[in-house]
Amino acid sequence: MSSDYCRICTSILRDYFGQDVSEIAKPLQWGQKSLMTLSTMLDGKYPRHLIQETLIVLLQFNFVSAICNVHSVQIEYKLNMENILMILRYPKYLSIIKRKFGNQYKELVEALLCLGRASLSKIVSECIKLQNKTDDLYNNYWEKAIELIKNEYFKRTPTYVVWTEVKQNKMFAPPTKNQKDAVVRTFDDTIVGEVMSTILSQCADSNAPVSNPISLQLIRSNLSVGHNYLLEYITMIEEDPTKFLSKSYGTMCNITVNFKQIINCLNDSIMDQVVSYKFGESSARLFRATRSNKLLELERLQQTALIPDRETKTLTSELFMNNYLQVQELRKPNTRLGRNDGKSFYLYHLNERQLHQELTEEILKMIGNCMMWKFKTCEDNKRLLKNKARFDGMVQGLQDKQEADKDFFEEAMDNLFSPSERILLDSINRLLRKCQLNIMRLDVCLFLFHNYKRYNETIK
Amino acid sequence: MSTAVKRGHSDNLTDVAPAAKKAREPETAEQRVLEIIKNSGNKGVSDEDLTRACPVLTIEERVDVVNKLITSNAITLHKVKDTLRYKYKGPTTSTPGDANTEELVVFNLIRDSGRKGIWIRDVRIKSNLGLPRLKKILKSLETKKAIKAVKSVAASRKIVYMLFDLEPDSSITGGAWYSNQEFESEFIEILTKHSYKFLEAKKSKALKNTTIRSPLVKYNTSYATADRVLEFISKTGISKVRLTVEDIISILDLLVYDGLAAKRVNSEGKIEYRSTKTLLNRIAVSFLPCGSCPVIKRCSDANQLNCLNCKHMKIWTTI
Repeated sequence: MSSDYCRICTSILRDYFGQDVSEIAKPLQWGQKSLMTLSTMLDGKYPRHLIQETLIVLLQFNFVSAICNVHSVQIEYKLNMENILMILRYPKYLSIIKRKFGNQYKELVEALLCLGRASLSKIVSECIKLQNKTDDLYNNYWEKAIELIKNEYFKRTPTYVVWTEVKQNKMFAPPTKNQKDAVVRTFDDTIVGEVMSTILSQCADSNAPVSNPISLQLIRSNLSVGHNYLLEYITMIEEDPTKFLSKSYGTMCNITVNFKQIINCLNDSIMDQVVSYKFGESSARLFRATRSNKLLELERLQQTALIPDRETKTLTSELFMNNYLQVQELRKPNTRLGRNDGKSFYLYHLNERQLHQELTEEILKMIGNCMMWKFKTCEDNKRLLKNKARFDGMVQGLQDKQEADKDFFEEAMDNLFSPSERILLDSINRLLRKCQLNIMRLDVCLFLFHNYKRYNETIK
Repeated sequence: MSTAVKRGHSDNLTDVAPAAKKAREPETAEQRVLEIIKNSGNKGVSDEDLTRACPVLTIEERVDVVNKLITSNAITLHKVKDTLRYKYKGPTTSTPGDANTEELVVFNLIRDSGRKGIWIRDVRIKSNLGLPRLKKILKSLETKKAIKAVKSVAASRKIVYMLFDLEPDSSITGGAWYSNQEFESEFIEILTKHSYKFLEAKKSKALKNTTIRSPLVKYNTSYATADRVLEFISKTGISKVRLTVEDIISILDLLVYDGLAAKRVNSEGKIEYRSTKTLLNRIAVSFLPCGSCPVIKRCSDANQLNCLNCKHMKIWTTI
């Protein structure tokens, strides 16, 4: 695990569980430890019972797993950093559930995400409590929860109390949206997007690079828009150079989605944009030319990209220094005289795996930076924010009882906070929102990189 | 292989003989021999072939004629597999009339180099002439407008010589993208822009066309081949140089490398292009100053250089 990864995990834990939890979990980042070791390491800073409590909380959320070591009697605790990073993706999950199923389902998932793991009855009752709903809806929510289990969004975990569940990592929902958007952008036709999303909705969630075959009939019956030209639309997507779909020609016309291809296309697109953002359009051109030609000599690169000689040299060396391009030297074998002619070929190429690794690190660092600023802003204005939170709580309480109107709150706000404080509060809010938004955007990149890595490793 | 060559050779001879007979009574023996050698093409004619083709000539006459032709630079002698062969040397009209032998040697070397030209060093080595003498000869040939000096794109100081009325090869001039040995990036940019405009127009025209209802046909008509783009470009008259299809293909490939177009091979095996957009809207990295930070690798909380001290982050976070 890189230090950036650890840094983010600490920040996330600090944001969601408080300073103590993050401090206690910190030693676990560097390897699994028993409770005994952990308490000696944190000796003097935190009492033993607090450490125990922290571990229980983290176990509840599956952020820590208990491992029974064969060689030692003690149980050791391991930090699941990947699961912690998933917290960043929770808002996305919620929005997807809301879009796919509806509001009530979203509320159920939200309740479970807050609980970590719980029995189904607990989830439902918690959900009703959170949403301030009446108890008559219990059965209604219960059925919805069962449906979520059937769709494999909730899953059973075998440990601890009676029936506990934790949300499954559903990898495939987020790209659904991205893919659809991408398709719409490629063809300038919204119907294509509809067709694609219908096809995607029929895919079984799996990690295979190619989806299960879907019959044409099934797509036709599920399509919400007119399907006069369905087959033509599918041929269109298939024949496009992006090749998102493939069709089998036989008695049954089956369609498969090339997930790997989609992820690769999206990743390439990210890479291109990163290069063009960092180094400019001409560099992006050189980068793409190198990628599509695999190995290129400098002179040939200049001829393909049609950029002046000197400029090509500067740009390629800049890309090379930042590891975006690699150089391979092909040396001429020594002549009989034992002298080398001095002529060797320098071929430019890309090392996508390394590039992805580096960019992942950079993005992790950026997320860390955003979280750092979030934390710092909150820390600097602790008192003000606390007051505001207390005020908000009061307002909420009064509103529930419907005892006061809007004017009253505004007046109270004027009395409690000075104008400069109110402006500050506004800007803090905006800053926090900005940070959160960017963290979520960056997380999408992480998600794509992660998938790219997975697809390209399984093939080997 | 050798049999094939021999057969080819004998075929050639049968061609030569009737040709020689058909030729309407060549006035002199010299012309007739020249005709025979000319018809033999690149293979040349050996002495035996010549005797067979013109049995009328005696040995002395033949030697005389051949010598005359060699001195007048109409034919050359080549040694192929231990036999001497005469070859036709091409039109000799461009030879400067009052050239002396040294000039002639240099001139011939330059002529043999063809459209690629020859470097002065190579002339010196091949002709065995001293540099000052050679320079004088080149100058005199240049003033006679027999040869010309052309700057090469590959190296700015390298000057190659070629015949005056020859068009330099694209490896010397650099093709359409160079004028006066300078790379014309602006010209390329304009061409790229216009090609993109054309592809865009073609796509929007295809999509807006209400008479066609089938989406697949619409999609297919939004592609354009390089020929069509070339047609459009030559109609607009942007280019003073005559562009070839290859030039346009490299321009369209540029669009592909810029991510503005996609190419595919159609059912007829031709390469087609179509304008596209990028798959993603705007990348997340570009929203943060860290996205373009050159020292992001060294940025760390334990370091002096961290996000809280960062000037750009401070600006970004002040709202």
